[in-house]
Order: sequence, then structure tokens, then C-alpha cells
Amino acid sequence: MSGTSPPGARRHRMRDLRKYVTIIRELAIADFRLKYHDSALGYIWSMLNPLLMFVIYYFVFTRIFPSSIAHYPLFLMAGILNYAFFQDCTFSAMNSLFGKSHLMKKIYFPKSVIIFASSITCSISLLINTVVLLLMALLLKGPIPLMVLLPLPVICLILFSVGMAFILATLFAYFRDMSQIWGVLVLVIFWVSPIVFDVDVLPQAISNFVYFNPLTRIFGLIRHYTIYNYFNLRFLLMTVLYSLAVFAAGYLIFRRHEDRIAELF
Amino acid sequence: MIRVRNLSKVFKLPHARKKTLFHNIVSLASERYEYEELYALRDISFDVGDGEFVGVIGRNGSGKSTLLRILARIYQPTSGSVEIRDEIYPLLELGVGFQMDFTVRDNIYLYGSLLGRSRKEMDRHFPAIMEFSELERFADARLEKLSTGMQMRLGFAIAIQSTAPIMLVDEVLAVGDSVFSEKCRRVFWNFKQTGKTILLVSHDMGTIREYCNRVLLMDGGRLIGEGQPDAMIGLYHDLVNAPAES
Repeated sequence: MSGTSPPGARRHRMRDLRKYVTIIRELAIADFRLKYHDSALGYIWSMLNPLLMFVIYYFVFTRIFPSSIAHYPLFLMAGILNYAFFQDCTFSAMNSLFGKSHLMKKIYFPKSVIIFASSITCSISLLINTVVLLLMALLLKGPIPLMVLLPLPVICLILFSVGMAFILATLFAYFRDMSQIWGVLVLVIFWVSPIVFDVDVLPQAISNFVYFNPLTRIFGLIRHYTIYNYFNLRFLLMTVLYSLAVFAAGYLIFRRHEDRIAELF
Repeated sequence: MIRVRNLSKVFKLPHARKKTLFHNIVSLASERYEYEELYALRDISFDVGDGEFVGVIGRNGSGKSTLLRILARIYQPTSGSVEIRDEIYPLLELGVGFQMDFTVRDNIYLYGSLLGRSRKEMDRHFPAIMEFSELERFADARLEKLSTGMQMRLGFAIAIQSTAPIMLVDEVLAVGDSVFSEKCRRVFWNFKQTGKTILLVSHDMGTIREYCNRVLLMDGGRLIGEGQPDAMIGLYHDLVNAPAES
């Protein structure tokens, strides 16, 4: 809308980019402070929920329905911690968009910075969780060479989750009950992802379907690189491509609707 | 320079509250997608030259705020075009755009970043903002703990740090007590003298008369008059005193 002369356009874009990065950083810093600083237990709170889930499922799947999976505690922990990030990232995007509705009615800025900022805040917890998982694996099982590849599936998880966050935030702008619907869907996703069980125990027809879920692939890779020391290049590349595609699709969908979002709140 | 041509804005107001997917599915099924079209702006054209101080007046609901929001790129026009050749800074109902759960400090840095300032620049401006808003002691208080007057002061103090050559101002000169509003008046005179382009929405005709070179009069989403402040204020008073349209 505001016209820019062609020679200055590039300089403008660079300046805009720098501005948006600053906004994202300020939002993320304030969000992070809000999330952790003001509570006495801080980060511990974000661990409490996954920890409780871990204790319950560990009890159920070792005492009631004993699981045959090797290194089950590590297997379970890897699933639960990374699923917790997916859940956190998608819900935070919707909450954050809602929480910034006053701001976007007062001043123009690209709304995608809100989603990027909330995703960064969530990713910080993910990084801490990943370190916790690594330490557990070192302690319970010992080091494996493939651990150096662990950043790859973690990046895939972030890309996929942020892509989903963009899609959900777009839907949420139009339909306010999206967060309730998502509350039900994440529960379904929990059970169609291999978090407490392994895909291989499922019948072929169902396991093909479960592999369609990118989380299945990402959780698989994370376990390969922390516990089982298993490497399959094709599986890795497909997962990277898949995650990138979801991220790109989500971002493009959001961008298409970005300028209308302020009017919808 | 601002150039607006044949600008219209239509809001679709649903008859019933239909903000949820559930409601949409229900209304799709019953094949009644009911909404009313509200023309907030109808075919508006005007120009504002560099360094002009232009007032926008009109009754409540005449489209003044919608116009400013479209100029500020917050709303998208339904039809028509808006051309702005410079950086703009919107001052729309000060203070309300803050994040209530953030501290004063975080709000200042966030707003600074929205104005395109780097963190380093904000470190430099921070003391001046705290001093102007007279909130030095509350830097780390959450905004929700501050009184409305304090929030307004903070908003104004941040806003005036903007170096944007165009400012859109919506009803914000009536901020704080008489001492503070005197401070604000000095700032606005300074803006006027340094040749900023300002579009000012106000219901306070004294303010309009004091600052503006030219006034746009709006009613029912239309631009019904454009000219000298005294003449437009006269027309506005006629509108206000006339019996309301049915």
C-alpha cells in the first residue's frame, strides 16, 4: 500500500527485516519472562505435566500391560517430552495471537512475528528438555555415536510444530472455538503417535497410516539418535522434507490471511 | 504525502454472534448466512500535503477512526486506494495497545521495536520516556497495576519518540492532568513547527481550531466537507444540533 521507489526497495526490505527481528526478540523476551520469571518454580512447572504423564504411563506399561520395548523409560521419556513441545507450541500460538489482539488494533506489524515469538519461547523449553533427555540417555544407557545427529530431528520437530501453529492460528482467527477443537484433536494425535507404544506392534494397515503422521517419523528419529543407534538416510531425508513442507505450507497460509487478522479480533 | 482515492470500507456484521466454527456449520446447514453490510466508509477521496496539520471531525460512528486505521494499515480497504509516501506512526487511542501483563520496561521496549527502533536506541531513549511519563519508580511494575492516567502518560511518552514524518492521532491530546496536558501541547506545537504531517481526529473543537490548517468533516462514512477549520466546525455544530436521522 505505501509505495516505495524501486531503487530503495531493497534497502527498505532489509530495514523491515531488521525491525521484525527486533519485534520478535522483544516479544519473546517478555513472553519468556512472563512464563517463567514470575513463578517461584519457573521451568519446573513446565516439566511437571510431562513428568506426571511419564510416571503414570511408566506404571501402566510396565506393571499392567508390560511393554516389550527395549529401554522403555527412555523410549517413553523421548516421546512425552517432545510431544509436550508440539502441544505447547500449537496452543501458545493461538493464545498469543489472542493475547496480542489489542496491540494489533493499534499499530501495524506483520502478525507472523507473534507466532515466531511464541514459538521461540516454547523452543527454549524444548532445548532444555532435549538436554535433560540426553543426560538421561547417557546415564541409563551410555553414549552412542549417532547422538551428534540429534539436532536434526529436533529442528524437524520445531519446523513441523511451527507450521502447524501457523495453520491453527489462521483457523483460530476466523473460528474462536478452534482452540477447543484442537484440545480434543491433540488427544487423538497423542494416541496415533508412537509415544507410549511402538509403531511396529500395530498391524501393517494401521502402521502405514501412523507413519503418515510426521510426529511418528520425528519421534522415531529422536529415539534412533538417543537410544537405538540406528541410521537410515532415506528415512531422515523424507522426514526433513516433510517437516519443511508443513512449515512452508503453514507460513504461506498464514501470510495469505495475515492482513485480515486484525479485523477479525 | 497522503493520497486517498475512492476509499470504501464495508464491515460485515453478523446478525447473531457467529464467531465459532460450530455456529458457522449450523448456519450453513440452515442455508441462512445472515449479515448486515455496514458501510463504515463510502467513496472517500482527499489529499494531505507534507507538513499539513489536518483535523478530522464528525459525530460518533461517522468513520473517523476506521479511516485512520486504514491509513495505518491496520484495516484493509474494501475498495479504493491509499498511497502514503512516508513512514507513518499511528497514535490510536493511546495506551490501550499495551500488553497489560508485561512490565512497564517490557512494554517500552516492545513498543520501541514496533516503531522500528533497535534495542540500543531504546536503551538511549528509555530514561527520557520514564522521565516524560513521570513513572521512574514503576519501571518493573506490570502495566495492569498502573492507573489509566499513568498508562496514558506512558503511551504518549513512547509515541512522541517516533521520528516518523507522518502521525495519525486519534483523540489523544486529552491526556492526564493539566500539568501533563500542557507538556503534551508543547510537544504537539513542536511537531507542527518542525513540519510533521499530522492527521488529528478529535471531538474537541478547541483543539482542532488551535492546531489545524484544514479540516475534513465526515458523516455516515462520507466525506461531506473539507475546508477552513471555522467553516467546518460551524457545519459540524449544525449536524450535531440537527435532529438525528431516522
